[in-house]
Amino acid sequence: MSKRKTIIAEEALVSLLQSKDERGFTILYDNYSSALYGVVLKIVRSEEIAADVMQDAFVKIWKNIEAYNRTKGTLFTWILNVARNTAIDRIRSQEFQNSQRNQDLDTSINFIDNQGSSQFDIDAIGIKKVVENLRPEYQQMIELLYFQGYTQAEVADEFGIPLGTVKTRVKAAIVQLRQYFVEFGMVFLTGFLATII
Amino acid sequence: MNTKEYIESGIIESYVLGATTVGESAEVEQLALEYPEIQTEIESVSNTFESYVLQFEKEPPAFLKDKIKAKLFSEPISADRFQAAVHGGQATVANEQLAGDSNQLPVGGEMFATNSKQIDENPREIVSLNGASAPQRSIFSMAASWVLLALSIGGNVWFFSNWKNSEEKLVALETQNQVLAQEGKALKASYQEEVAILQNPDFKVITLAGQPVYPTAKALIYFDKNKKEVYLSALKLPKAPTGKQYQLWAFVNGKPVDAGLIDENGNVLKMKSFDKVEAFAISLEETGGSTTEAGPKGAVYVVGAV
Repeated sequence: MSKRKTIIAEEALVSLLQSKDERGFTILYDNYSSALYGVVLKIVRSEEIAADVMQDAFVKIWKNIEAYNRTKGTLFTWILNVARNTAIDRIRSQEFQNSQRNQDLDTSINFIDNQGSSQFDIDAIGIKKVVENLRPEYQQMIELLYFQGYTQAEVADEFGIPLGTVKTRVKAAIVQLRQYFVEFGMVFLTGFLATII
Repeated sequence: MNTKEYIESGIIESYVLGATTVGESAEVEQLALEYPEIQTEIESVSNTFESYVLQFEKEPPAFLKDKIKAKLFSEPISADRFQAAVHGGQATVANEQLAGDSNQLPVGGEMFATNSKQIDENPREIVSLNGASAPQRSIFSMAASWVLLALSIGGNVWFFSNWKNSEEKLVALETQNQVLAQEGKALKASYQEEVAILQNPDFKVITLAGQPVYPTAKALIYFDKNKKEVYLSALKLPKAPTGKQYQLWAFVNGKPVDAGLIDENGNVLKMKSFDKVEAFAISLEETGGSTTEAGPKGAVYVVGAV
């Protein structure tokens, strides 16, 4: 979690952004950059490239804020999509493919090191729990579709999984996540109540 | 159309994950406009998935914020940026930044550091605090809300039971207080009566002494010769067994006359009045007492002459 987050109504933030107010950028960055950076880093697997993608993503958000439509979803949903799509575009670019060939070994070692060192903060322990609780075939679906940008048809083709199965697994993955988040809260609540009553 | 079937198909999950084709996405968005339940499902799936995605949150490198800011605000002023600057009264700021642009290399980080500091201080003062921002959907916020809910429920249970306890105690204390007040009042009345009797020169005090059946028994009779009233006090008699009751007798012309029954608490009891009394006695009778005609049937405990 970022150290400073400004509490602001989403509407107010959108109008600050639309009037190109610098405060809009500051709040947007402070509130959302770590969420976006986490996703971008997981997609591009290099801190250097992730920083670059973040720049591009923020420029796109800044320039296209007029295109954001409240009725279609929250601001966070929209900027998350912008960041994710920017990152996916990057890993598909020729430049990235070439650089990967040269730096593959270096980057992945670097990446693993960095991940290892962050395992001890509370956030990371939370991640581990959720990921471990998700069935491997569901994890794989989210990994391929969301973090690697495959289409369902591509997953079906490349991994020899029937298209119908791909669809059911995606659905089941979300259902399991939803249950997990509800249970997480319930376990917390009952555990807590048990200690006080 | 059958929206339930559509929702069940899993297309919404794929749409949220960005795994649908452009055509499919357009279709989902179109249907969301037509069917509120599809829109709701999209929001719910987005929420869940975003909670998951937030697990990967990671603080970006420190330099990134200033770097992005520099990129956003040092670009040539576009039409709407210019307009915003003029309307916002920020023309000078914009100019400074343009000037700063050429200085960018030599001054570098320092300039941006000052810049960002100024901006950082501003939002908290100006921005309204109504409402919440989106990343609160992280699992930790969710856990935090559950904890808060639990705390609140726990707190309420605790306060409620405390309140109930206090209420019960208060009622008990009030009752006790009333009883004490009544007892106090009764006691006061009884003492006042006794004191009034003692202070009245017309009253004669007769001591009734214990008889062989119970030698330590004792009683006092206050006898008003003028008003012919009899009061009984300072009874020292064994507790009457069940079914039995003490009875006061007055001896008039050598014969015992019923002077009244004594209740179990019997402090000062106003008895029947008599004219020429020679002596008083108390006997233990069946509950209800004996009659003048029958005379005392039980044992006589105390006797005293006037």
